[in-house]
Amino acid sequence: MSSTATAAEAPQTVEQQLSPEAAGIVESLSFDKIDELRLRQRGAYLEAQSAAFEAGASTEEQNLAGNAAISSLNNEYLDSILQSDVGQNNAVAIESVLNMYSYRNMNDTDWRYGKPSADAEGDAYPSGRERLQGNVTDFREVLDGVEPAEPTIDDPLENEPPVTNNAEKSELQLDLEKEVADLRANLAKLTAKRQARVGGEGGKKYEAALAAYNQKVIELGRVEKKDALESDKLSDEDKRVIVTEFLFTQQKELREQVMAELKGGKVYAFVEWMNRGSKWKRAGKGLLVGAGAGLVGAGLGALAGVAGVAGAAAGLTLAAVSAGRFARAYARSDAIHHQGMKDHGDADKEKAKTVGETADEDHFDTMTSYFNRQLEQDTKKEQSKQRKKVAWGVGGIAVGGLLAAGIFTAVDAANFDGISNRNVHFGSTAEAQPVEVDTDAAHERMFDITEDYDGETGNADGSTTSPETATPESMSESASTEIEPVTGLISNVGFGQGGIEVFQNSGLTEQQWNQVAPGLAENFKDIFYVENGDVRIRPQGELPDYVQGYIKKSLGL
Amino acid sequence: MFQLDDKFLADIGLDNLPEEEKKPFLQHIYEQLEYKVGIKLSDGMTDEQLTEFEAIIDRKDETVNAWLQQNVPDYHQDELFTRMAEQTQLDPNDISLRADYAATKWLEINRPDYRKVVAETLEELKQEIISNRDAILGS
Repeated sequence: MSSTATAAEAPQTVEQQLSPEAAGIVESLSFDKIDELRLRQRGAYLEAQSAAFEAGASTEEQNLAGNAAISSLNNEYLDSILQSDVGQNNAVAIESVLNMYSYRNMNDTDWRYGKPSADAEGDAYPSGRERLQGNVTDFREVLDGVEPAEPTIDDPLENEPPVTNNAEKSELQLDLEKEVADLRANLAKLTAKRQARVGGEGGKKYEAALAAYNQKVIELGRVEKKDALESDKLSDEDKRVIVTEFLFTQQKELREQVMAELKGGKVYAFVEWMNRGSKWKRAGKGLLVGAGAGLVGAGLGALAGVAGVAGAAAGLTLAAVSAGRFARAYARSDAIHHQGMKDHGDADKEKAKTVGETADEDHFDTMTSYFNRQLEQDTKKEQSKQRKKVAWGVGGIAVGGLLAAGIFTAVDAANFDGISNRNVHFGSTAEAQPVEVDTDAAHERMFDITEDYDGETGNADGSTTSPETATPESMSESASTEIEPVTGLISNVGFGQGGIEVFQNSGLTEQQWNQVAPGLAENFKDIFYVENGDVRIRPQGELPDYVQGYIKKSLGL
Repeated sequence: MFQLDDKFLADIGLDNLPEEEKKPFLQHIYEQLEYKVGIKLSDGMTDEQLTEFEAIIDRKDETVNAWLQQNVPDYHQDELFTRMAEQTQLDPNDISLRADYAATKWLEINRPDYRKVVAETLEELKQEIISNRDAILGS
């Protein structure tokens, strides 16, 4: 082909050089195919979202259902592409393209038109269609080992023997490639496993896998690059570059496979899901995890209710919140997205070319050691991040249990809809409620349930007051002076319960709750509060005896 | 008493924050608190300890069982466990219940001072916010 060939002619020429398998992959990633996939994704998304809506799911859950439908279609399409070895070898890149241009990640306007010109809202950017075309053009060059069709005059390795296609490879080389692939897969699994730990060395099994992989890669390199390395036309410098580039490619594939292992794991899928969407949505997902983990049978709304119940007596708030908190901390650490394990790019390749000065075959050992050190460094970095991630989880358990009640009221309530007087929910308009969480005594209540609500309550200055002897500041004088303490009248306030339910559990009626609720909110503001016209209860556990006394007196019982 | 609400914002001089920024700001405080507490509590812990914690919170049945057997063999009788079971209405053998109970106990055993650490860190964070109040409002 002439170096003056037009851009329009070039892709067609390249495509002619691809193997049937590679050409099939390119076709699968064409605009028409992806456009068709997006159309199906859109239909599936709307259908799933609608079904979720009809089932009474929240907006967040509807979106999740829609996104799951898109992912399902994406996975099906990916599976159809990965049938061939070529597809398998490029799985990460193909998956990346499918995700990038999915209906979930790119709207129709961006897909078809992009943003032709800059305006007050931001810079111009090309359409998804154009970007896909660029991706596919780049992708052609790596598929099946085919180099770009247009020869470059300044190519420093223009004298290198041409890269061979599978049909031209020796049986030995094909066998070695298969062995390297198997050893790489094993090493990638072990490396990913190491990187998921908070520390530690690889152990004998890892060391053995690494050694076996290195040895076989070098064998393959010596076979694959035999002609070039024995060529009289190439300088020692050229040969070192050839070796470096070969090992660089091997290292890149190993790293991609490690990342694919991580991506294939539930941790990656979880983190990816957690990090998708707005900050508020991510926060909501953290709670969804808690609910999904079976911590609360009452579901999302009830979990939000727990979060809003201040002074929770024990356990549940900690349990429910801790999982959500841990989940968020886990994803927030971005341990996978910004992991120590890096994909290797051009800069890494250029840097590698500066390593070592030995000639031809010896350079295999030099560069293998170099890449091993880099891999080990990245693994250590990843383990360090993993440690911080788990540490954050520890903090989530500690803080979540102690402070969750008050803070969640202010922070997470915005994620949930639904107001119920029977169950304590918080709507999207919930303000930061004046919930008090004593950082000493409340902790004790949460973790030492033998000290129930009528136990001593610690103050910030370290002193303690007893509800039995101290009436709340907000309580009216008349109410405080005429009430006789009563116990056992009202059942303990359970998780997510509202006043009506508590009263009904106590053998009282909804009407009686409605009768007494305004007075409770007026006189006991540290226990009751008003939201959207409804009176709600802050703490779980037993209501103080003076409150029960007030109820008894107000109802004439 | 510690409050994380409008009054808290007023206490640290940030009650003038725009309404739409209050909740994100409080959430940021919460996240910072979690992270700082976590780093402090885990400081000095061994890889094995953290791996054990991670396995517990990840609800790995084998690890949770082994940990409970070794550290709280009669956990079914523990009031905290009973209360959690009642509140969650989960079967006492449910892995989620046992794992969350174990995580709580794990923290109490490995860092019995954690309440103090949380309180101290909270105060540090509060002072840090106060000292940067102008910058926060300026931004």
